[in-house]
Amino acid sequence: MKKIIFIDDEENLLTSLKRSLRNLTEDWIPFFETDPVKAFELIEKEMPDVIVTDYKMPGMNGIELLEKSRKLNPSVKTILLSGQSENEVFEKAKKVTDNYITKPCDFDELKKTILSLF
Amino acid sequence: MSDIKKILIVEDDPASGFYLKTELESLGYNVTATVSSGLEAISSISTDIPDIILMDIIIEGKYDGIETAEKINKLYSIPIIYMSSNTDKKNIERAKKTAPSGFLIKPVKKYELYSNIESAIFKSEIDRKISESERKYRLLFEHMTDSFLYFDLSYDANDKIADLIITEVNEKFLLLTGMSKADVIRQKISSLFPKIESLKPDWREIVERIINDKATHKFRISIPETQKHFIFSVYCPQINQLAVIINDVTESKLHESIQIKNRDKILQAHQEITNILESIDSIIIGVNTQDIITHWSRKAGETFGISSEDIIGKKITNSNIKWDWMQIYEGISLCLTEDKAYALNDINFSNNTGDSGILGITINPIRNEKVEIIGFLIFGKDITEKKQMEAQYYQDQKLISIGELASGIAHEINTPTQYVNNNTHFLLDAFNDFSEIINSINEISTTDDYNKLSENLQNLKTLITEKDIEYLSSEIPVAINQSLEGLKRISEIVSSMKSFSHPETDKMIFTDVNKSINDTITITRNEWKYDSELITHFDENLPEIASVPAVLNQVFINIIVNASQAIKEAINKKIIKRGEIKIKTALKTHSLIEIIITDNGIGMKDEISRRIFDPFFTTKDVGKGTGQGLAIAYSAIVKKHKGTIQVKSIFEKGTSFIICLPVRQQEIIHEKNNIY
Repeated sequence: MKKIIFIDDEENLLTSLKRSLRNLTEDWIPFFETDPVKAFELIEKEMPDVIVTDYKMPGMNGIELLEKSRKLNPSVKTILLSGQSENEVFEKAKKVTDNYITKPCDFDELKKTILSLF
Repeated sequence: MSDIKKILIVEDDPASGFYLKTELESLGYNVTATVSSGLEAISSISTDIPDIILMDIIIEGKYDGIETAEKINKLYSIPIIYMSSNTDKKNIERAKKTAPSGFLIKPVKKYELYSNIESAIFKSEIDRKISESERKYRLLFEHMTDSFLYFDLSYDANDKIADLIITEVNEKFLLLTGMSKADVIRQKISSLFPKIESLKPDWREIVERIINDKATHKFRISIPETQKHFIFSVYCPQINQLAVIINDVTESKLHESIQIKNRDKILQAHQEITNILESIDSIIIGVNTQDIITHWSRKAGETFGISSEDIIGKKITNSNIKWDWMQIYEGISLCLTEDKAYALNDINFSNNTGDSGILGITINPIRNEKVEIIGFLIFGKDITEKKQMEAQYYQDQKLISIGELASGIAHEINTPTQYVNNNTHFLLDAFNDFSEIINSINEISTTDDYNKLSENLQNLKTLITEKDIEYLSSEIPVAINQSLEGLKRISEIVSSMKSFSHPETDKMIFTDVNKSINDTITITRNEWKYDSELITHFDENLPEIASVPAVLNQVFINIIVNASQAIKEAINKKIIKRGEIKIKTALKTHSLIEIIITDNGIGMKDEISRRIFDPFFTTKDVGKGTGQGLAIAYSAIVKKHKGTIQVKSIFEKGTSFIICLPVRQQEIIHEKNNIY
């Protein structure tokens, strides 16, 4: 069983994700969190195998969250899901994650990316 | 000096002395003393100076009368008359050397005594006067600041001037030449100054002329070796004599050359200033208090197409400069009455070929060194191009603002799109699950085989558990509603964006300001939602007002984005944790609505809030600035909508923008009539 955490400040996004992930969860234990600060606490506690996070969030952005998480667990797999398509963000993202998906993305693409991590 | 003459008698024979005293007193003289020796005589003189001394040659004591006279002469100038019965030649020769005033042969006769004494006194006074006068003139002569030479003329056999012989020179001349009196007196000028012979024309001719016309001739003479400059004044005081006064003008010449240098410097400075003025790429017009144009710069000429020759010296009021005279007159009069520089913006002008443009002008009083106003200077710049650029910049700025929001708007659309996509996947999945269940039900409903029926029912039960139909039944409506909500959100954003399109339309139309603000809130949500709550208090009965909605929305965008940035700054500085933007609308009077947008951001200091409506003023980092937008906001509200915009700000507390807009129903009806 692998642990996966999804972080997005948009509640609707998380609930819809939770629903669509319904058939994926046999091998996975999913966690969902809207607040990046609370998300990090959860990451510290659960030590997930995969972190999927939004970029722009109040309190802490996705890149900062991934940087902190990587210090905690260098081998953690990460996906940055972002509406920001600016080069500046992309360049920064490249330093913390190999997987950068721009919103909106098709759920199948996300699923494929998650499954390709292992 | 008393009129009674005092006489000292030096006589060793008491009888003679007494006789003399008696005789003199009978003649009206005062005898100061009768002494018998030289030393007594000197002692008596020192206490009471006589006007005349009667001196016997053979007297008592160490010195005889002549020796005594010699001593007295050294100390005083008192006329002395010798008396002697001895007339030997030797004594007379000795006596002569003491320049006596008389010589009486004893026995002295009364009339001789009187005439000798009187003539001695008279001669002594004349001598005194002459020597006094000579002393004065000598002093004058010696202390003259000019050198002085006096010549006798010597003639040759043909009665032509042969040479000049120096008879007198003053101290100054000796000082000047470094010669001694002995070197020069009685010397011929030609031998003393041989160079004079090389002068052309011959100096003798010149002297001849001077003698003939009796006037003073002046010659300027420079000595290159010593770099000295002189003026020689030459005149003929009497026949056969020539006087020369030499005035050393080297210093004044130096002064003169300094003056020339100064004048050159002044001219140069003037030229430099003129060059500087001319190189300034601005219109510079100098006008004096009589309104006469005194300066007309090259640029002024180019701008108005009037040459300086055509305009300098003319009254500015009569000049044919084509510009907004009303404003210029007002500016000049304010500049002169208030005695300070006066700026005039946006002065329209045209040149001689009819091209027009806009000038920025300042009128400055010109003061002299006593700080009195002596005219004014019109300093102008052709800002036509700048104005055009500014207008373009305003246009660009508007587009930049929308452009800046674009990624935020995209993000706002992305999020619902994302969850609609997720939900749709879920619904598709759920539908597949339901299909399986329905197929299973279908199988049951169509089977006739009761043995199989029980097996099918078991399958259905397993499926219902497996597919978690309970979960699906509760989640499907949620997913559908969420998707519908998402789609609504997208369509809201898209429709909000519509009111920002066609910004080029300048037409006034009925506008629901509440809706305009709502649209702006939607468009800008991504800018503020991470840091702030946005609370609206809309007056639901707000009348529609006449406005250009795209322009108005632009104002709201700029204010909301500024508010959001001010909040971000306050959060970064840990002044607040979370921002709050309040937007309130109200009908203030029947013809005026009020919109108040308040934030609890970083606020502004007074000096900044006073300037935020200035074009090109921004408090934000270069490149980020929508501070620019506030100048547009000002012109949009005040110029386009005839409204007012005010800012109230407290540093580190927040900012409020208060906008008042007239309803102006009349104008709309007019517009409508035009439309239909």
